Amino acid sequence: MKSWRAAWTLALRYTLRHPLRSGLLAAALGLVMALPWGLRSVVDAADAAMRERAAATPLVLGRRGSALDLVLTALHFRQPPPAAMTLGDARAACRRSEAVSVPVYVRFQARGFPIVGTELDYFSQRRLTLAAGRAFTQLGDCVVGAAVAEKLGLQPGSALISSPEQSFDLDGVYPLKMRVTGVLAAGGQSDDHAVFADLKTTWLIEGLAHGHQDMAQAGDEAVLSRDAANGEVVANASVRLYNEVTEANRNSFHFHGDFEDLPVTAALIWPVDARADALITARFRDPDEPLQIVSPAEEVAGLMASLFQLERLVLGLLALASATALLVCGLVFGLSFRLRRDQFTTLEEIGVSRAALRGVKLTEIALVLILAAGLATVGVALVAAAAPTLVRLTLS
Amino acid sequence: MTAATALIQAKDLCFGYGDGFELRVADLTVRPGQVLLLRGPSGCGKTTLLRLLAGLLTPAAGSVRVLEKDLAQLSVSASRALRLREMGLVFQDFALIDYLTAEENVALPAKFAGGAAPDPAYLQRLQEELDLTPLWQRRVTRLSQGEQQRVAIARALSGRPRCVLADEPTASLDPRRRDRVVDLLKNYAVSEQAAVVLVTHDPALWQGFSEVLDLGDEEVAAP
Repeated sequence: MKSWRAAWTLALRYTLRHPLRSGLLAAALGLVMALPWGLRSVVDAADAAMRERAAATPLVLGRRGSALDLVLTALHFRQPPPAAMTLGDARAACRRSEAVSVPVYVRFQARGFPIVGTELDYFSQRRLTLAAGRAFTQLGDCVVGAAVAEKLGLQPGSALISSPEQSFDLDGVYPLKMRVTGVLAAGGQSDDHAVFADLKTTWLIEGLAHGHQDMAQAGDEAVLSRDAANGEVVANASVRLYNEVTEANRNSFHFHGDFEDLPVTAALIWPVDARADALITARFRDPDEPLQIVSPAEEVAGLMASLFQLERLVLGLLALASATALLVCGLVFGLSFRLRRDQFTTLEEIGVSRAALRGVKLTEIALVLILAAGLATVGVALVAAAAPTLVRLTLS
Repeated sequence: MTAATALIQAKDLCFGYGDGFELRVADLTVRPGQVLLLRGPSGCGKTTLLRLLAGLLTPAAGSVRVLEKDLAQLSVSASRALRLREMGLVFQDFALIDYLTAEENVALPAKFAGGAAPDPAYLQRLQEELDLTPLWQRRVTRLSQGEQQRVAIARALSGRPRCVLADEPTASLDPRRRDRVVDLLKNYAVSEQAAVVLVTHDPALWQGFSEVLDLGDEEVAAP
């Protein structure tokens, strides 16, 4: 028993006094142990996040194309979005007695976070609550997710500027300075990482509405012609366009065209019952129909099946890589023992038993394995903690 | 076993490496309290004889008895146990464990032997006699050759073995320390009633030993 204690002491001394070698070996082995666990936790997190959100959204209507892209954009605000449909299309999909339909328009960003144009029903359907402030009520208002508020240091009353699509495109989308009116309570979903505004505000960002100085008050340098009889004024490009909606200029903002013709990415549909669900779905069964209706749960199930197949393939490859890494570690141990053959011979010659010598070697291996397991556990815990964020980043 | 009984005894030893070298020792006896000096030119077989006496080599003929045990009759594990508990070996190349301190190297045999820990007062005395006190906590790789040799001697004596086999134990020491180590080994033999076999090719050490075995001869017998 005491010789085992001596073997343990000797092995511990060797491990501690060769920290680089022991650390590298433990890190390599730890990685081998952690990779399958880490992969599993990420896949589990993806599965949970995708299924939970998909299950909470029975149907999604959008322009025909990739059903998965439509689901990822409508549910997780992934960009670039698929082709848009009109608000009129979204309104016509179902009657109010059949379902609650909420349009979403996902195209723009503000400081790296997606701006989601929608209606106030979105919050009630998703059961989102405000941690601070109030919902958007006016043009130029926005409500930010908890993660956005934390990362950008926003609170009600702050300003948030939408990101221009192309800095040097004169015909492009110009930034709009929005007022943050509220911050959503954290829900651990994609909503935490988005900026919500009224549909009209997103159309305003797109340039489908605008506000400019009162042409009746405009100076001659901005006016090309005035028709006093008809009240028409033709102005040049020096007319000042507003990039922020304020109390003073709110009334100057106006849309050119009918709201029903303006774009939305998708409509989230919550049928009142299974019959309504079947009826709405049947309406879009025709493959020639330009719109499609998809069940996020089915799309996500298909995606996850592919993901699990991919995981099996990756695990197979990892098994091969792990076997290789283990062989290399075995080789390193073997070479290390071989290099120290003189030391083991000395121990033999002073009379240390074979069992105790084996004990020294096994204890050294065990110590590195324990260290590797510790590193792997920490690594897996970190990956598991970061998995929801990783999944969200991947989805968006 | 009486006080006069031989602790180490070899008879009609014959050993060869198969390359023409052959060592023959007719009779070698070391009794308690005796220090036997093995001397001779390099390559004459001093280290080989020491390894035969330690049971690290097996003779082609003849026998080696240590503490009345015939080494040829012992199993591998019994032979190792005998070395660990009853023999102190000083190797020519010191054979210290490089990642341990001087203290840890010295304590190693006792730790593996599993018996009682060495008497701290005895270890303290050993440290002082070998001038190891300031080096005690240093890793042996940071010690000079002479310091490492003294650590190797301390390791051999730490378990108070009945037999000490020392191969060139003063080769790296200055004359003052060399004399002190020789005195230490002689005193150890007397105080512990141990058998000490000391190998050297240094003529400066050849004086002052009553028991001498010359290995330069064709076939030799100890007195």
